[in-house]
Order: sequence, then C-alpha cells, then structure tokens
Amino acid sequence: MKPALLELRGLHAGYGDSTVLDGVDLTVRQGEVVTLLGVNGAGKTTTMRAITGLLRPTAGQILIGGTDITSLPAHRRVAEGICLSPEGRQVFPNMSVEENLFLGSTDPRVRPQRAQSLDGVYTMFPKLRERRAQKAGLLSGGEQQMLAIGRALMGQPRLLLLDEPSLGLAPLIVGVVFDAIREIARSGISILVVEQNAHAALGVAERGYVLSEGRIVLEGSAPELAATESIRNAFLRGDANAGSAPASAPPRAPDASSESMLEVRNLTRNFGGLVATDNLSFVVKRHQFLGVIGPNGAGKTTLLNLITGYLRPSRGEITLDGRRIDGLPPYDTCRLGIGRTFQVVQPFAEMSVADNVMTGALFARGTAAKIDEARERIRRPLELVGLARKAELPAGSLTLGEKKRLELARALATEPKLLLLDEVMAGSTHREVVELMQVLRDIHAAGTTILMIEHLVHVIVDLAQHVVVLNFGRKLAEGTPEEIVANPAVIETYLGSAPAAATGDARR
Amino acid sequence: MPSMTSHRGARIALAVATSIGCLALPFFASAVVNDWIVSAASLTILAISWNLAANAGLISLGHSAFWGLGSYTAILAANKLGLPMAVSLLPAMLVGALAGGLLAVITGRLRGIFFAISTLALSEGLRVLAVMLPGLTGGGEGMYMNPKLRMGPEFVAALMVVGAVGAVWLSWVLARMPSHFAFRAMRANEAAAEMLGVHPVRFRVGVLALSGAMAAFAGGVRVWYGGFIDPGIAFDLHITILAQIAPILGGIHTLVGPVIGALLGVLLSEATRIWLGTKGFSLLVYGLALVLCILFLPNGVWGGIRDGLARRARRLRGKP
Amino acid sequence: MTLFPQFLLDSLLLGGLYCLMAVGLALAFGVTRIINFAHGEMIMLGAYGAYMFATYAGIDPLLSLPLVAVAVALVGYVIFKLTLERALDAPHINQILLLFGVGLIIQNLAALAFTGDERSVTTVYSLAAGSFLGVTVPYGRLIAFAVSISLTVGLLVWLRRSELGRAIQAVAQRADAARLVGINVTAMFMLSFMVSAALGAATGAVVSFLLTISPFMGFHMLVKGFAIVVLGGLGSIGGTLIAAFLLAFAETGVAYFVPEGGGWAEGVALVVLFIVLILRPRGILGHAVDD
Repeated sequence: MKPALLELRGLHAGYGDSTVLDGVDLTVRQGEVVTLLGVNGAGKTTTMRAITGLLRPTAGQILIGGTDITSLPAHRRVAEGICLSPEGRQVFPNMSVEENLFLGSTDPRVRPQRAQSLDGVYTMFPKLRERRAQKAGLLSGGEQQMLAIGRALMGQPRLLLLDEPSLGLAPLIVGVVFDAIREIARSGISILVVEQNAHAALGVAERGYVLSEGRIVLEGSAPELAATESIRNAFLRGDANAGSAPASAPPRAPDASSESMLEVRNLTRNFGGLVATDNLSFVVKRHQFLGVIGPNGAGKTTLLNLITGYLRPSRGEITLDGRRIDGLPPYDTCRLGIGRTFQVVQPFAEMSVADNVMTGALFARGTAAKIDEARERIRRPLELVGLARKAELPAGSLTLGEKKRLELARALATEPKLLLLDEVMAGSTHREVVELMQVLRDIHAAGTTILMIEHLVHVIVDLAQHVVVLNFGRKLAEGTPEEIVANPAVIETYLGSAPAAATGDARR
Repeated sequence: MPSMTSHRGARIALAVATSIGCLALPFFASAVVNDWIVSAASLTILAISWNLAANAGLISLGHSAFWGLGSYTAILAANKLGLPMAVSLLPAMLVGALAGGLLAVITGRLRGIFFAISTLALSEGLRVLAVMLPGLTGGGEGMYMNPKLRMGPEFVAALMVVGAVGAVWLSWVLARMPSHFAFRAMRANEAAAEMLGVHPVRFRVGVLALSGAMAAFAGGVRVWYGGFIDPGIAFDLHITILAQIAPILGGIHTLVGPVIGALLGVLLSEATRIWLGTKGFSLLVYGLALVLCILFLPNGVWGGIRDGLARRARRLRGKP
Repeated sequence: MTLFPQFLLDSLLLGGLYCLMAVGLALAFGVTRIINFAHGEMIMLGAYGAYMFATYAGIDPLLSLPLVAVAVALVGYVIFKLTLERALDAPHINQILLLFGVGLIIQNLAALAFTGDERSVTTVYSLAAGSFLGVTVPYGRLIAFAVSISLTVGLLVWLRRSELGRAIQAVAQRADAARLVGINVTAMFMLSFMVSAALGAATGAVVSFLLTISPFMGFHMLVKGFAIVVLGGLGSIGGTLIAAFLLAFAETGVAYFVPEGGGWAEGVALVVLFIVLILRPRGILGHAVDD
C-alpha cells in the first residue's frame, strides 16, 4: 500500500461557536486521486480551509508526509507542497492570466522553475496561453477554473486540492476540467477533489469519502461508491441507511388548503449578465407548509430577498393576499405579515436574547408597541424555541444552532402570517434538528403558513406538504415530497450528471 | 416589594439633590471653578449627544458642525433679534435639529466609514461657508456678542448645567423607550432590523436631529460665555475630538459613560495644564487616551469597571 | 487672453501634486481596507523633515526627499506594529478612531517640538518663474509636478512589474487566495502601510517649498485626500489619479472663474465629497459599496 501523504485525524473545526467538522478522519496516499463528496453545508470547504491553513481546527491533527502542520500559518503551506484551487476559483481579477500564474510560483522554493512550470501549464491548457495577457476577471467560468488549477500547479505541489471544480460549469466544460485532472494524476501528483457532482468526481477518483453534517458517513473505492443506493441516501437523507424512515416521526399534516396566499409570477432578477432568478412562478397556499430545495447557487436566498423586498425584481410580480408586494422595502413587508430568518445568521450580537426578540415584538405593526406588552408577548416564542432560560445572555454567545432558533423566535415575535425560513437547521446537532422539526410542526399547526428553504432533504420530506425544486434560478420540478424524491431530474441535480464526452480540442 | 421602591426613591432623591447642587454651584464658585463647570457641563452634553448617534451605529467625525451652528444661531439671535439668553437657544437647537435631520435624509443608508467621512465634510464645509459669508457671520474675523446683552458667567454656567442635567435625563428616558431597541438593532445589523419593521431612515432622522439639537445647545450657551465667535472657534476640530473622546473614554453605548468621560476629560485637560503648563499637552493626552482606550479598554473606564466587577462576582460564585 | 491656458497649466501642476498626495492613501486602503486617518501627519512629518534638512544641513528638499521618506516609513512601521497590528480584525470604526488618535498624538508632538509657528523652505526655484507662450510657468510648482508624477509612475511600475508589487496587488484583490499561493498577507499589509507613509512624506517634502508648514497642516490635506480617494473609488488607484486631476481642475476653475473664488476653492473638495457620497458612493472606478 502506498504511504499516506495527507492525513486528517479526528479533525474538528468551525466558525465562532458553531462546529462544522465533527471529527473527520481522512487519508490521501501518495499518487492517489481521492474525492470528498457531500451536499452543501456538509463541511467540504471547511475541510479544505483547514488543510490549507485558512481556518484553524479546534481539535485534531493534519499531517502531510508525516509532518504535523496543524498550526502552520497558511502562507507557509505551499512550501510543504500543498496547493489549492479554491471554491469559486478566486483568481486575481484585475491581473492578467500570466500574472496570476506568476503569483502561483511566489514561493522561493519554486520560483527558479517558473519558466518551466509556466510552459507546462500552457501545454496542458492551451487556451490560457492564448489569453495570457487578458485580465483574469474577464475570463469565462471554465477558463477561470483552468487558471485556478494552473495557478495551483505553478506551486509544484505534491498534493493538489480542488474545491468544487465543476461548480457553475456546463457539462462539456466539466468534462474538459476533469480530463485535465486525470492528466495531472498521471504525472504522479496526489489529488483531493471536493465535489457536489458525485458522478464526475467518481469518474476520476480511485477512492472516495462522503461527508455529511460534519462527519464521514461513507467511504470506499470509487466503483463501490458509484454503484450503491447508499450514496443517494447519504446525499438525500444525510445517512447511509438505505430506505429507513425515522421511527417515531408524527404523520405530516394533510394539505387541506386551497386558497392561495403568496403568488410569484414570472419572477426574474438579473445581476448584470447573471440571471439569478429566471421566470419563476409558483404559489404558496394559506396554511401550507412549502419546502424549497435546490443545489448551491440555485437562487433560493435570492427568492426570499425578492419576496421580502431586499431586492427588486427585474421582471415579474409577487402578491400577498392579492396585494402587490414586489419592490416594497422589508419594513413594509414585515408590517404586511411576512417574517423571515436569514441564511447567514444575523443576531444583534451585543443585545440579550430577550432584547433581540423584543425588537421583533415592538415594531412589527405600524406604531411601536408598549415595552411591557412586548415583554409579555415574547415569552411564547422564547419558550417555543427553547431559549427562555438563556433570555438574558448576549446573543453573540449562543451556538450557531441557538442563534438560528433565536432568529426564529425573533421572526415569530412579529406575529407573521407567512414565515420564510432560510436553512434554519444549519448548525444544529441531530437532536436539535429533531426538536426544531417539532417546533415547526407546532407553529404550522397554530395556523402560520411556512415556506422553508432547506438542504436537509429528509427534513423537507417529513415536514413539507408541497415542494418546489429550484436550479439555476428556474423551477425544475414541483410536487409532493414523495414525487420529488423519486424524480430523476431532481436526483441528477443533487448527484450530478456524468460529464459529457470531451475531446482534447475543447481545451484549446 | 418595599425595598425596591425605597431603593428607587432613594436614587431619584439623589439625582435631584445632585442636580440642584450642580445648578447652585456656579453662584458660589470662583471664576476658575466656574470655568471648569462650563467645560464639564458642555462636554457632558456633547458627549451624550455623540453617544446617542453612536448608539444607533452612526459615528460622527464632524460633531463640531452642530456645535458651530448652535453658536452662530445663538449669537445672531442675540445680536439681530435681541433675544435673551435662554430664548436664543431655541432657534439654536432648532437649527441643530434641522441640520441633523437633513444629514440623515441626505446620507440615506450610508454607514460606517462613509457616514463618518460625510460628517467630516459637513463640518469642514460649514467652516468654509462661515468664512465666505462675512455679511452673515462676520467672516474670518468673527463677531462679538452685543455687550449689552451679555449675562454674568454664573448664569451662563447655570444654564449649561441645566443643559447637562437635561441631557442626562433625556438619555435616561430614551433608554426606556422602544426606540432604544431600534437604535441598538440598527447598530448591530440594519438589514436584519428592517425585517422586523424598523424604518432605518426614520430612526436616523430622529436620532441625528436630537443629537444635533443637543450639541447645538451646548455650542449656543458656550458663545454666551465667551462672547465671541469665528469660524475656527465655532467649527473647531477640537470640539469634534472631545465629542468622541469623552464617550469612548467613559464607556461608549452606556448611560453613565459619557458623563464619566466628560469629567475625566476635563480633569485630564486641567491637570496637564496645571502640571505641564501648555495647552497643547491636553490634546496629546487625549490622543493617547483614545489610542489606549481603543486598544485596551474598548468599553471605556465605566465598561472596564463593570467588567472587573462582573469578573469578581463570577469568581466569588465559583464560576470560571 | 492667456487666462485659459494659465488655468490649464495651474490645474495640471496642482493635479500632479494631488496625485502624489492621494495615491499613498489609496494604496493603504486598497490593500488593508483601513482608511489611514493619520496620513495627513505623514505629509506633515515629511514637510518638517525637509525643513530640518534644509535649515540645518543646507540640503535641498528634493535631495533630502529619499531620506525623509525612509524615516517616515519607519514611523509607519512603528505605528503599524504598536497599534494597527492588534486591531486588524477590529470593527472598521475602531481602526479609524485608532488612527485618528495616532494622528492627534503626532500632531501635538510636532507642535511641542516645533511650536505652532508657520515655516517654509525657500529654495532657488521656489519663487522663480518663467514665461512660455504668454503663460507664467512657476518653476517651483513645475518641479513639484515633475517629482510627484515621477514618484506616482514609479509606484505604478513597481506595483505592476515587481514580485513584491504583484504580491501587494494580489493581497488587495483576494487576500485569502494570496495566502494560498504563499504570500504573507500581514507582512504585505505592513509593507503597504510603510510605502504609503513614505509617499505621504514625499508629498510633504515636495510641498515644503510651496506652502507654509505647520503642525496642523495635515488635517486639511487629509480631507482633500479623502475627497480624491472617494471620488476615484475606494480601492482603485487608477480612479484616484483621475480624481486627483478632476479635483485640481475643479478647484483651480473655481479660483479663477468664480468671484472671490480663492476662498470658495477650499470648499470644492468638500462639496465633491458630499456629492459623491450621496449620488455614487462607489466613485468613478470603485467597486459597489455594501457597507
């Protein structure tokens, strides 16, 4: 067996008080290509940041070639032979392709070979040679990905890390990129590829791991992983158990409503050339529990921003109970009865938990409520989310899961008729997820209409009466949770499609 | 509970007694002490005014704008309209409030550094305006207050103390109103606050108008004390500096902090003057105080005391 | 009627000077994202440094410029090490107040050392002037222009072509990606701060024979520097250079063509600042503002 090059032992890491990686063990042997798979929020990029030193782990070790580099500053890791092509490429936008590549060989160890390395990269990616003088920010997504990989190669790594190289790329380009990865592997460099697109990744890797909610839940050789049901379950349910339903979950409330409350019609939003929301239409019925799912970048948070008024639509309209609300600022949509939580949690950190929720209770109606009344009104939401005992603590001291629950309480204090939830489960432990699911059932049972964006598909399956699936800003599918989970198009967006066959020409 | 009400009653009695005491002091004090009283009281008002805006997340680097507007309005009200001292302060405060409100409307949603720079531009711009409109302001040479209207320094000092007491009382009242929550929420995260029904521009207008009116009051009374104004004095950078240092030194975002900071500020200034002779030293000391506070005492003296007491209490209870 | 050509020349000469004055501020902000409220004091120290060399060693400010720049760069190092390094992750406003306080300290130390008297350096060329096509060419300002432009161009060339310059640009554009390729980002922060201080000092040396020097001259220049950097777009050096000339033309235009313009010209920078912040906070070439 080839010796281990990269070893992660019991790695714990997170941001602030929240734990994202909960004890990760992973090995990449010399000359191997290994893939780390998982849905968004599983912790893949956090793992990459820990390996490259951008994030300091809270526990555990990182070893490269046997040397412990856990506390080594990020800029010294290139010297250890670790180079990363980051998520989102992160090319230096105002510098030329060639300057970006020069920067890849900043480290004095590799600077003498700069000319040779450059030649090598240009040979592998002739398109980059063609565009060597062009500003990197103007390249297409595929070209930027080639540049990011090229820049990493300029550091002459022993271990090449690739974070979601297929993100946002068309299947043909994905093929080109993965062909290049195969070529790099042939030259003997060890590779760790993090991917959402399981098919593409398993086509190039020898071994793989599946990460879910901060832990490795599945590992094996590539053929093993590609063949099993278990990978589908790992992605969609968060565990490797095929087809097991949670034992004691109460039955989902029947969808008896027929009246529409929120109508989204032909909603479109552009950012320059990027279409974030593309002619989206759907309806939320009164008292319904609607789930919204979709891969990273599908436009889910943009949708909430459009509904609540942080963004204006480029085209289309949104109505609440027959009244146009698109373009109304958030404080007006709040007054009309919409409450919301945020994907990136936004507590008022220096204020106490109770004061956070008070702010929700005081201003939601036209005139400010009285402070004493508000203090009474916040009791229920605080108890409901289980934060009553922490009411006097500063909000900044809560864990991520608690902060998400605080946001929920704060939104509830505005007494909304429509509650919009943006990944409210993120950062919660398994037990917290189960508890929170019951809370949401209670809120729904009390009459609140809920629209919930969530990555944990099993949560949606258990709670939602109706599901809308988004991809590239468009509605991909709509239906009951059972229909959605069985829909092949939906499965493909989560596991990825096999990259289209690419010829060598496409790299030119 | 009886102990609570008597506790509260005792506190109110103490507050009233202190206020009356401060008010009476100028009439018994020497000229030097009177000077200190005016400095301390005006700085208290200025500090509370700055702190109010800071509470809402608006850091002003040009508070002298409001002070100067107050000064000029008061002196013009006296010279041109013959208004007595207390009455002349009404237009002064009005102008200060208008300036604050306008600033809020014009700067809209600008935050942080951009807002700070725009306040800087405002104060400097007003200074240039004051120089270039000699017909109104006496230009670069300045204006004297009509000597026949001037009041004795102890009356002026008493009025400044009234203002200081009023400012403290006002900030106490505000801390008990719903707007207190809105301001703190805006400071923490304006976008999230919006989703809870908070209308940011409306609250900004309110807080800046109030802050502007208070600073204008202080500036207005000050001009009655000194009897002379020119653009350099009115829109003095030192006013801006003092307006920030006092709350930061004392404890930003707290009720008591600005008052403590104001007293400390005057103490530092007078101490350095007495021991070291030149006025220039006080600014140096202020600069050092600002740097040291930001680096080591971000919650100011009052915050430091509170943190220290809390740490002691935790240790006594046996918690980590 | 040589008024217009004269106006053009004066604007141009002033623009060059403004370039040098603002480019240091733009560099420091572009890389560290911290607005250096003590930049005016770097200029002031440079002016006094040149004054000292001229008065006590008889050395011309242009010759003492390199020495003065290095000395003030060291001051920048000390400021960074003692204060900023600790506050790199602090809220922006703390960083601003911190540098404000540092500026205050330096101003008043200078006031104690030099007293508030205004001084100036007189050289052979500071008051000399020639005539060209009917336009008066002030040699002092012409030389100041030449030096300013050379230094600015030198900075741009260094940023574009040298290893360090490229590294600094990388940090300004994507700090995390810079770490990933092996750049020590904190060291680059320090370097840009020092270079920024040096450029400020150079500005001071250059104006030492054009303006009166006083311990409090820095604040005025700082506000103008802000106006230029905000107009050009925070983070864009190219924008800063364009804005420098725009402001110079606007100020000179007001001075020439508006009655009593000399006094109003001082307010132009402020009006520009206000207008930019209200209408287009990102400036001419800057990125969109979210804060």
